[in-house]
Amino acid sequence: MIRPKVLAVGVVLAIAVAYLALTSLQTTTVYYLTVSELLSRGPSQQSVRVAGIVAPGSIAKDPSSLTLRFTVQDATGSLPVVYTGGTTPDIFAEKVEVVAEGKYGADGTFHATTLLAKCPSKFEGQVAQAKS
Amino acid sequence: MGDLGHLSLLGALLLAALAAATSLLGAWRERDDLLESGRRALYGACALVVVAALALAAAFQLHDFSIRYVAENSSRLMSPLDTLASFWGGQAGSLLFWALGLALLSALSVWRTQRRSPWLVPVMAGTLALILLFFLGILTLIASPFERVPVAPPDGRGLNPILLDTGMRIHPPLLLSGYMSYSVPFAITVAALVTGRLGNDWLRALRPWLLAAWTIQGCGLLAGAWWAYHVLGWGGYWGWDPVENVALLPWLVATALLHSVMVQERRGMLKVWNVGLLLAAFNLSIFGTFVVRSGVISSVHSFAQSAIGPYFFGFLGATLVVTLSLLFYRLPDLRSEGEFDALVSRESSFLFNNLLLVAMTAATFWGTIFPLVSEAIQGTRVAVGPPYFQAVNGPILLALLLLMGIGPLLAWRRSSAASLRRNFLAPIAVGLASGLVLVALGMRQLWATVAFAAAAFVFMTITQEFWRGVRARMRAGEPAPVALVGLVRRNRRRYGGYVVHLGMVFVALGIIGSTFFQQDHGLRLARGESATVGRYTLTNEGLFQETQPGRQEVYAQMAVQADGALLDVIRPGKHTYVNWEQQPTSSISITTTWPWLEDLYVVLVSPNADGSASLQVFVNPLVSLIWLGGVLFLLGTVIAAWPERPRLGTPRPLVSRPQAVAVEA
Repeated sequence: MIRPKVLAVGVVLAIAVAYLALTSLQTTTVYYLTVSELLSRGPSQQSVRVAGIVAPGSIAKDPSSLTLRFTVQDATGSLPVVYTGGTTPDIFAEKVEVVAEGKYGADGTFHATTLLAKCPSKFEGQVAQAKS
Repeated sequence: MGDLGHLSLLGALLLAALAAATSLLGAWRERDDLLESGRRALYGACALVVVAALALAAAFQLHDFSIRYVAENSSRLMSPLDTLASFWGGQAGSLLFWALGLALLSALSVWRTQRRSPWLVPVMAGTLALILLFFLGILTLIASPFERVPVAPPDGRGLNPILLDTGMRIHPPLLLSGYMSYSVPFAITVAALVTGRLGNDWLRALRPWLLAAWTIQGCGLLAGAWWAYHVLGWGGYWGWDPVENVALLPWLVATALLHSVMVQERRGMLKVWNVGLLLAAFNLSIFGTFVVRSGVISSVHSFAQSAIGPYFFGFLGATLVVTLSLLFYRLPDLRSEGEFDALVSRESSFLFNNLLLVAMTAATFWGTIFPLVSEAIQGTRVAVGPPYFQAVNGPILLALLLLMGIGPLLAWRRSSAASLRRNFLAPIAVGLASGLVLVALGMRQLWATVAFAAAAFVFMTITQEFWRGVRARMRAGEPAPVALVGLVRRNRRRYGGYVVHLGMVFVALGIIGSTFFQQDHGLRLARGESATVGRYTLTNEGLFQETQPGRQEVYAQMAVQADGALLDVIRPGKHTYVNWEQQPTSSISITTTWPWLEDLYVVLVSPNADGSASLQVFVNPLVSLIWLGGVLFLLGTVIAAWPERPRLGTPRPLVSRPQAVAVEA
């Protein structure tokens, strides 16, 4: 058998970790939405992730401020995005599926702080990531 | 080549089925002739898998583009070394690599165990054959690397340029081998459970294989971090992405096991716990392969989503049911022989280390699958990002770091107050002193200071152990280097363990430094313009273009000055590969500087038409210590795993060994 003192420390530890995990999960998870879902929710102060395809011809880079503007779209909606995080994923391009994390501002623009690009899944084993 | 490979795989499939059937039937009927043929069939299956793997490697080198996998993952322009790495560039080849490693390890472990603990072999060989059978089934029926295209193209598509790197040559095979090598400890555990011989013998048979799996996977994780850092260009090495997390899970469980196994060897406790962890490690490694290959959890590592997901899920379910039933059946035989006497004792510190590691595994697992759970239960899609994993695992890692210093200095059963004072006075003093020095130097982040102080404390405990051991031998008249070598040779497990701990201290220092003190700046520099980041001044000396076989390179030449003196000339660039024009890859410039071991990490975001360069500049302190820690980790495990006794046939020393104080770490 395990002595009460040893058991107590173990139980306290388990509760502490479970508490930490649950509270962090509440504060750090973000909604993962499609472009149309985000459009129907409207602007908010809450940070979300939005997934969509980069619209052809929409990419505009401002080299002086490293600001990147583009539009993401899905079957039914489209949304202008401003990304100020700097580095873009190597595979970022038109018609690539991207996941942007940030806030949908009242100005109707999505202000992204993180930009991830997914590879067109035709080829395997591709990895790409960019972070702010 | 394609036919040879395909036929070899089919032959291996039949032999693996035969090996599984005869081994298990032989174990049941206790018939040695069946067992003998089971082992032979397993060795035969192994040989045929080797032939199949050689056939695929040869097809790559001969540019046999009539094989779809070869055409999709290599091209004539690639160097022979890169072409070799194409082997595991895609799914079917990765699975063949898995099968290859598993076949070799199975044959080796069965052969070795047959000589030392033959009673384990029948069920062990049967289990390994079944696992091999599963992978060969996938390889022959669902995802064959030897599938043909109707018309062979003149040249292949080539490997994705992001994968053309030294990291690509070592990281995937190591990680795949790591996943796969948990099969051997698992098979030994199943054999012990089935035979019911659950003393310490099976643990002795199991330990080297567990250590090997743990080492290989640890190196795979570090190589992956190294690759991400040097190739992907976001300034970090670990992103808490699902694919990374699932690779970490079995490693965490195995880390716990390596410690808790000692409690069982020494005190006969934690038996059910250990068996549970062993089963968990294997199931998590299959779970990892399943997640990576099935696309059930969305990840930035977007592997091809394929048909093999459900088969892995079925395999996972079947192993879980069978192994849990076995464990339940043997519960009465796994009763503990001792008990935890005191809170401050070696076994209690191992228990807490295990609880922390399992808690970290559970929290990471939960965060990784939470998006699935949320979608299934609440119907909302969510994403769990690095903030969650940092918030939960940060404190756990700090506690583990502290325990790593405390545990090895505690005595078994209970520690006296006097020994505590003797062992901890100096380390605590060093830890506190380093904390104060850091504050005096201007460090204001509380947790960073605490973590650095904890690392200094652990560093001192390890140094003290080495110093005490060496000093004792020096008193006996040995010069210091001889004393050090002798000390380590006499207690390989203990001092190898300390070297691993030392490696972990360095890894911790690197993680703390880069987590708390990373600087990140976006810059645009016109030709001739300078900018200052931290203590570094970067000057754009112009953009240059070069043509290499198979690729175009653009780079910005930058002079870097630190504190007024020229430090380096760097050339961050972008490479554009033939066939992959849509996807230029970054060539990152990393300069490590003294005295703070800062990495000046420069990414060329875009070369602009006006001759200016847009750059992302990171200053990452102490990251190189992570790679140094990795080398120590490997060195330590090699020391710990080196066979302790001279083998039969080599002359034994005439004089009996001095009675070493048997305190195993």
